[in-house]
This record gives sequence, structure tokens and C-alpha cells, in this order.
Amino acid sequence: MEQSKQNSPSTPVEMEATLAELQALLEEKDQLLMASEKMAVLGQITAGIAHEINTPLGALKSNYDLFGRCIVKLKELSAGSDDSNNLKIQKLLEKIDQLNAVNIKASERIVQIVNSVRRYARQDDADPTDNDLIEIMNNTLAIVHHELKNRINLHLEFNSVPTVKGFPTQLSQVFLNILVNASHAIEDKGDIYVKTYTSAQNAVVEIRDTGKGMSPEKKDRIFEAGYTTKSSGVGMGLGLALVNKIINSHNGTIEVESKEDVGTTFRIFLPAHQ
Amino acid sequence: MHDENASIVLVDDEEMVLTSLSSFLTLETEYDVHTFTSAKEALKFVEGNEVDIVISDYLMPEMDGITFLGEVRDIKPEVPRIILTGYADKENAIKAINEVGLYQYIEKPWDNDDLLIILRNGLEKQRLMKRLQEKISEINSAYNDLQNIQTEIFKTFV
Ligand SMILES: Nc1ncnc2c1ncn2[C@@H]1O[C@H](COP(=O)(O)OP(=O)(O)O)[C@@H](O)[C@H]1O
Ligand SMILES: [Mg+2]
Repeated sequence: MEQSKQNSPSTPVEMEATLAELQALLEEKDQLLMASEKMAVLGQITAGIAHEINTPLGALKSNYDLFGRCIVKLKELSAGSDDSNNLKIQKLLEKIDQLNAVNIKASERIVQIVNSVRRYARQDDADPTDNDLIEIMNNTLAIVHHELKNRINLHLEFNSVPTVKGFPTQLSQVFLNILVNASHAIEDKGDIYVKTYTSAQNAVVEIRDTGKGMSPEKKDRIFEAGYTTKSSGVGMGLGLALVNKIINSHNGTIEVESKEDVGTTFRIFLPAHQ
Repeated sequence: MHDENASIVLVDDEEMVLTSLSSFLTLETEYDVHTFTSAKEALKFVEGNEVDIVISDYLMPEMDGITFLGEVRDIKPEVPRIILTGYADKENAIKAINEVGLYQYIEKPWDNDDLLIILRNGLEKQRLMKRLQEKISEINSAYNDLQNIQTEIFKTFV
């Protein structure tokens, strides 16, 4: 980040430069504001969708349970006799029972996904709370799980960390943005390592990927609002700008190490809540 | 069993929820299940028929579940009322439990076994309330009889 000049500008050229600097700063602030408003709207929409899903999901879940109950009754009915037709029926019932067990598991899974989306979308930024970063990370991982699985191996190492004062939705947003970037950086298959530990009164969260990495020039610009190397529709270049903003407002710091074709590590330091 | 033929009223603007709930209840219980996609139709039914328990969805287009259950209370205060809610309106639902005097709320997606327990408990409560009401009116009429006898005795002596 550039330092603004200490002494006031004296020549018109200097004044022009200062104005341009201020203008740029203002634009950056505007963009951040837009981004956070967008996130708030997105949060509301998401919460609404999660809510809407619950009605059809309720019917599905209940019906699978009903199939199970019907199958039990049908099995009882066909039990007594063992003529060949009945044996076939019993085999078919067994199949249906197995498939239905899968349906029940699948709908349980949807329930879990909806729950974690709901938790994430909750707009609860009234007062800062005492937060367990490991819990927030786990909730966030549940959201990205489907995007990572099959392609990316997730390695978790959660060492105990002090609680952190702040807003859980925002902290979750930080982890989410970094995790999504990491998954974008991994073209085919790769690994993401998530680690927590304590260092000098700080809770530290480290997210490392084995993706394509960045050149030093690129790395210098990633926190700029609007900086992106992704095609439109994939990235708007606001993710890390928001991350930076949130970490700042939580009195934390963030550092990045990256090497092209090797990978990238983000390290977030957040002060322990006294 | 005492609540074998209990009369249950289900209201939800979504046909799929009604089908699912009523199939479950007819499979596992002997309850008389009446389903309505319209709260107004359901109110008419409650007015004209014996009803033991009413379950209603919260978010419905023509009349929300809280208003509906409030009106059910006005018609038949002794009937336990249960609200079905999606997560987003859980807080409102809990508030309404106190305001409209609801017996319980059930969250979507619901669990059939939990639902059945809530229904059975609600019916049990309803049965006990009925018994209590009967006992109270028995005591009342006994008290009246007693008073009548007292005045008779009074008359004969005066
Ligand atoms: N883990 C990473 N590995 C490689 N490049 C990254 C990584 N994270 C971020 N970047 C780079 O930083 C840019 C800005 O990221 P971000 O602010 O999240 O915006 P967006 O993801 O929308 O492009 C990305 O376009 C990408 O070039
Ligand atoms: Mg991003």
C-alpha cells in the first residue's frame, strides 16, 4: 500500500497527483462497498433459497421414511410362504430396501448442506462475538466440500487456537474466498492443507494449495479490488479485497507466499480475545 | 386405544406436504385425517366438525398459519394447535407460540417419528383437558343439586 504524503502538496502538479491518489482510493472504497452489499444481498437470497428447499425436502425425507415403513410391512406379508413367486418378491423388496436406504442417506446429506448454507448466510452482524475459528472453518469446509471432492485432497491439522473476537459470517467469508481461490488454482488434481495453530497470542490459520502459484508481480496485486486473472463469470477480483478488509477490521494480518507451479500459502493472524 | 379415531386437520398450501403427512398418518395410525390447501376451507371444517388436533403450515398465501390457528382457537379453544415452519420463520413461530397459545412447532424438514410423538402427546393433553372439563361440569351440577336441596330444606323449615 502506498503512503500518502506527509507534507501538503505545493505545486499544481503535486496537487493533481494527490487528487488522483484520493480518487483512486475513493474508487477502491466504492468497489469494496459494492462488494459487501452484493454479499449481503447474496446472503439473503441464499437464506431464502435454503428456506424454500425445506418444503420439498421435507416431503422427500418423509416419503423415503414411509417407503421404508411400507417395505417392512410388505416383507412381513410375504414372509410366511416360500413359493417361487414369493421368493422373487422378497428379493425385489430387498433391492428396493437397499435403494431406499441410499435415498435416505442422500436426503440426509441435502439436509446437512442446507443447514450449513443457512448457517453461512445468516446475517448476524449486530455485535461481535467470541469465535472458535476451528468451528467456523469446519462450517466453511462443509460448504466447499462438494466443489473440492474427487479433485482435491483436503488435509486438516487443527491445533488448538484461542478464541477470536469478531463476526463469524465475515470470518467464514475469509476462509471461503481463500479456499475457493485455492481450488481454482489447482487445475487438475491437487492438495489443500488447512492448519490452525497458536503463535505469539495469535490464532493462526494457514491455507496452502499445490496449485499453479503466482509470480511476485502478480502476488503484489492480488489484494487490489478488481484485480483478477480469471475469465469473467468466474472471478470479479473482489474476493481477496474483501478478505483484506475483513482481516483489517478484525485487527488481524494476512501474509502470502507463492511460487509458480508449486503453490500458494495464505496465513491469517488474528489476535486472541482477552 | 383412546385416540384411535382422533380427527386430525392438516393445512399446507403445498399438496406434496399434505400427501406425505397424510400417507404417513394413515399408514401408522387409525386417525381420521382431513387435509386442506386452503386455510379458509379448513376453518369451515373446524367450525362444523369434531376436531382433536390441528396442524398448519406457517407461510401460506391467503392466510398465514398463525392467523389461521388463532382463529381456530377462537372457535375451539380446547383443540391443540401445531405449526409447521421452515427455518427462516422459526423465530416468528416461537413468538407466536406464546401469542396465539400454540401447543408445539415442527420444523421442516420434519422427522416422522418426532411428529407422531408430538401428535400423541397433543391428543393426550386434549383428552385430559376434556376429562378435566367434564369433571368441572360434574362438580358444578353436583354443587347446583346441593344448593337446590339446601333451598328445599330451608323451605320446609321456614
Ligand atoms: N491460491 C491462489 N493461487 C494462485 N493465484 C491466486 C490464488 N488466490 C488468488 N490468486 C490470484 O489472485 C487473483 C485475485 O483473487 P480474488 O481477489 O479472489 O479475485 P477472483 O478470484 O475473483 O479472481 C486471482 O484472479 C488469482 O489470479
Ligand atoms: Mg476469488
